[in-house]
Amino acid sequence: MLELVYSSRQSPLPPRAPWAESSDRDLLMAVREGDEAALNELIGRKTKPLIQLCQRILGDLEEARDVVQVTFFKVWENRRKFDDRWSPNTWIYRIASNLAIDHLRSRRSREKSHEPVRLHLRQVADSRAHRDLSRLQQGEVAAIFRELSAGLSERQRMAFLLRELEGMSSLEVAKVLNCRESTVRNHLFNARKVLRRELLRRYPEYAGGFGLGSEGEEPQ
Amino acid sequence: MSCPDWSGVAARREAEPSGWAAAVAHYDGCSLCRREALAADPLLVFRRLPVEEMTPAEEQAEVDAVRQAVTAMRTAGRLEVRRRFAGWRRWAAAVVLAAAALSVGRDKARNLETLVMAPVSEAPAAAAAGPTLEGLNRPGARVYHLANEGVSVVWIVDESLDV
Repeated sequence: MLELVYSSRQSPLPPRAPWAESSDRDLLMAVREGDEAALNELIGRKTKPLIQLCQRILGDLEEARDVVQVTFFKVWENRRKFDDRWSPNTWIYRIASNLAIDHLRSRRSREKSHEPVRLHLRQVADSRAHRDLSRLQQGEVAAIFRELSAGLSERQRMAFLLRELEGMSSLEVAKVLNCRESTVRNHLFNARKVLRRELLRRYPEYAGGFGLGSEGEEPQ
Repeated sequence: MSCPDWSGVAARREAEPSGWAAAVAHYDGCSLCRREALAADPLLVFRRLPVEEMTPAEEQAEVDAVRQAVTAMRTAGRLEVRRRFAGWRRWAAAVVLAAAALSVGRDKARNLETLVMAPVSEAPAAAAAGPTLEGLNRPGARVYHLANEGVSVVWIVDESLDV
């Protein structure tokens, strides 16, 4: 017969930490201490927004999934480096952004070896340029962005996406990209300038017949 | 909300970022003023970049897939560390054995005396300290006793074994 003959615990087991109601910061602090349940809760919260962000950056859902998986692995591997003074979102987005930038760079080097295919795709994209705006599909927007943003540096592309589409402030983007706010504004200015110029040159129907407008604006 | 004056909000974009943000939110949900908005800023077209819209079930499937992948990567990482450590440990053991063999060969008598005498001289001191039960002071420590015919087992567990 099994008998409990001694217990140092006077009260019943305390309930497990209710991670579902904890803040992102508390979760990351627990992850930092090696709590796997907190990591699982973090994955549950951040997977969807990170997949959406990475899909916009990379223009490909499967690649976005890969980057998000590695992002959470890196979060775990580097958990002891997290400083509770940092914004949890900023820290995680920085990891994801760096991985996405690496992915873009490796993709560019791969694409250089497939130049003839790229030229063919470019011709296909150009043939679509005269379609009516109302028939524009999301997939076409993605193809156009991928084509036009090839003229941007990775950091310009990231600054544009985080600021214009994710709605982050310049300061938040600066923290994610680990650079100064003024650098972010320069990246944004140049990204907007290149994208607007190329969009109007290759797909003028999007401008509704208007000119280049505020291209000459200076970064604030 | 009525459609904004796009040329006006675009011109004041940097000075009034909140006004621009509200106008962009309007753009996302209104098709009436889309043409005016794109005329003011053609780059708004990229707000239609596709993002994965997920039902709750699809989102849960994505989350589960990420959790499994992360667990697999962590396991693979641990195995890799163990493999590397095992290689290092084999080399370290080989070095220690080689050094011991050389040392014994050089001064056999002195080393043998040390090896034999040390446990004998330490044994009485250890016996004098008496038996100790380690782990009783750990958080959540409990002692279980399993008694059957011819079998009597006592073991101590702590809260790290709690499920």
